[in-house]
Amino acid sequence: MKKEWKNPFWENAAKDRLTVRLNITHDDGSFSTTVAKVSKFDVDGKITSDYEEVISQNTMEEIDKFTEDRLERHRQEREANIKKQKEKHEAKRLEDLFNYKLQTFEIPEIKESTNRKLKAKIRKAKNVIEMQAYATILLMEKYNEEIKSE
Amino acid sequence: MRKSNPSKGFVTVASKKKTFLMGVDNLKESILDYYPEAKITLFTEQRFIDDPDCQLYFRYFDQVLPTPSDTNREKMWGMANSPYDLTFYMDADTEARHEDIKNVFNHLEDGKYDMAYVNLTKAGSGYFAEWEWGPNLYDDGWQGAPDHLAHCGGVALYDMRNPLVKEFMQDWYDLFLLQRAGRWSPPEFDNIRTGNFRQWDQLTLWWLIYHSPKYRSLRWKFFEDNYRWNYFTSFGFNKDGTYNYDYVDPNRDYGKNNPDPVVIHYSSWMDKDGVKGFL
Repeated sequence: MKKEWKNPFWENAAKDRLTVRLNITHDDGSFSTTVAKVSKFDVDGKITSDYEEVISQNTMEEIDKFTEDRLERHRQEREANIKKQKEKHEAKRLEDLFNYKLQTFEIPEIKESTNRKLKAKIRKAKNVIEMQAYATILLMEKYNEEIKSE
Repeated sequence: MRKSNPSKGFVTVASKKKTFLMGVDNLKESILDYYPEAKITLFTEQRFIDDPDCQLYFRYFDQVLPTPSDTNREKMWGMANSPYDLTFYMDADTEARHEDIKNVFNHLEDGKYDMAYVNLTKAGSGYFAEWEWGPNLYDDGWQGAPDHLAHCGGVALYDMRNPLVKEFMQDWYDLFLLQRAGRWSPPEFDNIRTGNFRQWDQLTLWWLIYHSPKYRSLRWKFFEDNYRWNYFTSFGFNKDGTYNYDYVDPNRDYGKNNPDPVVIHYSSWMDKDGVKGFL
């Protein structure tokens, strides 16, 4: 049986516990692989044979590097996920805003209005408050026209 | 011999649902916001043209013309029947957001190219429903026909002075309807063993561009400032006013000129059945 301890990284700052991929080639030629937890010390405080095997196949520098690389990879993944969530949120906000604008343009007084300058302001509004403000101005304009004509 | 002073205009299409008329009305107004003298033609169903409730949507269009049918792919028929020599087609769920919309026709470089498209990139592929079915990818040094939908059909710029271009668009329409009905399946489709690509009109476009002998002479290109002409909302917008071109299209340099998108495509969460409204 051949045991290979691959890609070990420290589980803790004390560096007395490792996570490592264990590849085993059995005597009959079959192959198995698993993720193993390896402690440096056993219950009596003696260094374990598994730990010694890991250390014999991987230098301390390599284990430190695997640990740092893994932390960095996880940090980047976390940052990418946060960024993606923010983007998704902002994209959803803009899609919703677009929907609100189309609904605003369906208000009969706004739909019929020929004041394209104000309609453009509604279209270019960056948020719902700005959109509503311009829609209100346009409705006020129509309202005032009605009052005058009465 | 091509006309030396080509007419220029925009084409958009709304079929099936009135909600798409809301979209094309907004699109038309957004173009006119930046380009007041723009000529814009709408293709829509005759029943909408005849509907008194729809007339306000049609204001300020140069022409409103009927489509022959009511499928959700009448757009290619509209593209084939553009009244303009140089035509920029835009989907109903797009919006012009930059004054460069006025300069779109320059991208055909005075007759050097017959068509220009937006390139759907490998880095952006995560944002599309389906994109690739094989290893030959455009962004990885593609050779021959790429194994993916490289061309976006959301916008298209083309020169109708070349009669082949009109035939190309008409074939796109006719072949797609046959493809969707399962009545047209060229041998090249047999290489596609994954996904559900036959539902997409972009697959028809892929075949016409890369495999149709008839259209081999057409000269096409991708927009240099690619996604500026079709920036999907799903690509994301940053609070600081920047865009995510570096993520979705890292092989192009968007820093050379103004990077603000010219066309925004609100397609990600669109509910085209209209249950929630337009979106």
